[in-house]
Amino acid sequence: MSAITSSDSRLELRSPDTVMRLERLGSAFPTRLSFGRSMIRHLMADNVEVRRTRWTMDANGFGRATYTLELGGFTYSLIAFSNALDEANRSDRVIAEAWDASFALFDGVPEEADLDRLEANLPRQEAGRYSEKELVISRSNKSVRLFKHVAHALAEGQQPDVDMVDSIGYLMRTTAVYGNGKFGIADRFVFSDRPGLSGPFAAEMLTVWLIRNFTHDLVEHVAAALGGDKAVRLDPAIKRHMGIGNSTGLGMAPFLIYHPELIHNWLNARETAIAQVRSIPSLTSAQIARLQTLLERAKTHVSQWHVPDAIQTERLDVLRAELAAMDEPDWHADYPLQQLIDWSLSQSVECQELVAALCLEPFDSLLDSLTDTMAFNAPKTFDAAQTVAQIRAQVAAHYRWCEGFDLGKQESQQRFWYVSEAKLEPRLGDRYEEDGADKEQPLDIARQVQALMGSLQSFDDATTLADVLARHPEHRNIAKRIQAAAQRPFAEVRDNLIDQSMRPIDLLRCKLAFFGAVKFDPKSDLWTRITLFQGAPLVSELQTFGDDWWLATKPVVATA
Amino acid sequence: MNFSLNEVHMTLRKALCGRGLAFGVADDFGAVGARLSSGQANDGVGTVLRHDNDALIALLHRVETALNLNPTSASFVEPLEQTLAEHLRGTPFPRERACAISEQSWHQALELSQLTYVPETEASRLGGAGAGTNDND
Repeated sequence: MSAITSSDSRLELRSPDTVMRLERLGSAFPTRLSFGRSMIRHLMADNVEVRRTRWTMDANGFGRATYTLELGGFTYSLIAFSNALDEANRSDRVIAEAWDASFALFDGVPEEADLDRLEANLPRQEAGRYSEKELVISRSNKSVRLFKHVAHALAEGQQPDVDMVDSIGYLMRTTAVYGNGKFGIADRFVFSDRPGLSGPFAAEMLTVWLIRNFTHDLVEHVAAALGGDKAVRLDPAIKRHMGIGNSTGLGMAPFLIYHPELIHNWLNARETAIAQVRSIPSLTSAQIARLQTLLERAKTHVSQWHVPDAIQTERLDVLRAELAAMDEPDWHADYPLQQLIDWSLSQSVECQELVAALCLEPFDSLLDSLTDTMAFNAPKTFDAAQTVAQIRAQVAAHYRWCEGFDLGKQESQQRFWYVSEAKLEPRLGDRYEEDGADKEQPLDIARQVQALMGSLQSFDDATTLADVLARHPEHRNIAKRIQAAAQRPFAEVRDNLIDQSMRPIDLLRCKLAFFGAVKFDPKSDLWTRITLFQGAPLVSELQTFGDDWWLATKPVVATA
Repeated sequence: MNFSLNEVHMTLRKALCGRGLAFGVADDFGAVGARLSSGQANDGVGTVLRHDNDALIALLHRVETALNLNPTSASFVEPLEQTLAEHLRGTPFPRERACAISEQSWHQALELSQLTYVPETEASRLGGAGAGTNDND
């Protein structure tokens, strides 16, 4: 393809004032840089073979299973326990205490003793205790409707209803995926320099992809037990369209805010990619054909994305109308992707973000190395020798966005983020209606900046931060953030996260899109379901299917 | 019982916040406690919690001021000061799990952490997370 010759210095990234607003973050689409995509590419590049090494399930699909693979010179296993679950206890909330299945990504090959130890702990999740051998733990609940339907259809020798498969998207949804030392599992640094697992959430993505495979095996097992000789296996195209669901609440939002360096790296990589494709002077005929195919696929995907949520439905209606009314892009123009992206600026934000993601998709060799820049493993540092004058200058340069919020208004501080004592579930409260604001989590960035600036008025310009913070330790958090953000324009979400009108789901969608999620299905402003790995290669297809599964569409299957 | 370093860091941070220490300072001393606890020898959680909030703030100021004056050559005697200096210099985290945290220290940290949680109410259970409590669909 045409190189962006000597153009890096000319690359013009979108402004963080545009990119880091909640509305835009909440319109994000997965891209080829998303972590699920890069995980699959690692598996493909390393010729990974997944072996089912244990399968001890009863006729109802309850029991244990293990899968083992080698990646980058290390051996990993997925351990799965499937249990009977009383319907009354099936909840995707953190406050749940039992699930249909529980999982661990194990470092190596587990012995029976490891399985026995984990069988006593994994089904209890947060109430269990784990070792350094467990890299990730997770749990999932069935989509009862789809699991039953698929099992019964296969048992009768029929393939499941493709429309139902498409509208639900998964047989099970994970309701938490824990990493980085939680409950005693391995710290992230145990594997963060291993090939294939060094990227952000790479171990979690591997776990979830393996869980998807487990759900496929489980439903086929139950169908075989039900139907005997009559039972059939899933058509590979339908199976491939069954991703793995995820139910996500507020816990993801504080993560984004507590890791400004990491979030900058994610957004900076994506924005650099967008700037790079804007700089491509012309397209080859193969690239044009690819973009045309992808655009049609995106339109189909969006046409098949239906959710009950009224706000998302309205946004999708607008997006569908915009795509339907779209003229064929002039692929032969100079800087054709710049023209296409600029055209999208007159459309909805959903459309803008979809078009940007589309434009990245064909450019593997140009863009994929950007995924190497998306982790943040360095220790955080803080320069306490910095002076009051310097920190003021940094605020003026990087936090002007805070000036737009009138924090004197009640509604500007209406909400507070907190952790409930009920299983430590993250929640959002009303400062004026509910108790607990004295235990508020520090997500009120704009308010912290304004408070710091107020306190700095009583200090000379030459005073060091060390001296300021000795008297005002309450400002240490924001002072650290300001220093981090001064080097990283995409470190801060440039909105007031305690405003009455703030929608946490925007933060969730941003993070989930970076994971590779599709079919965002909001259940409220605070909660969403999504699908991961829909259309992704099956374990048997890593060498044959390729990396072409962005925005998968409903499979066309010949009916009997 | 042994611990991952990140759970030591996060638990101690919460414990210090529960004790009223500002989040930004608590985060530093959570990390310091985790660093100190790495290996078989030290109960970094107990070491940090034995210092009251004012003492931790004063310690941080003393070490940061010394580092400001002599970024590379400042030296410290006490293990807590030394580890704090390593942390502030951005020295990579140690890799060994925390194996010497006493039951008493860990229990104390968990008790203090509780003070950062908001008591459960029916209203918050139903409204605070934005989701129902049953997902049989």
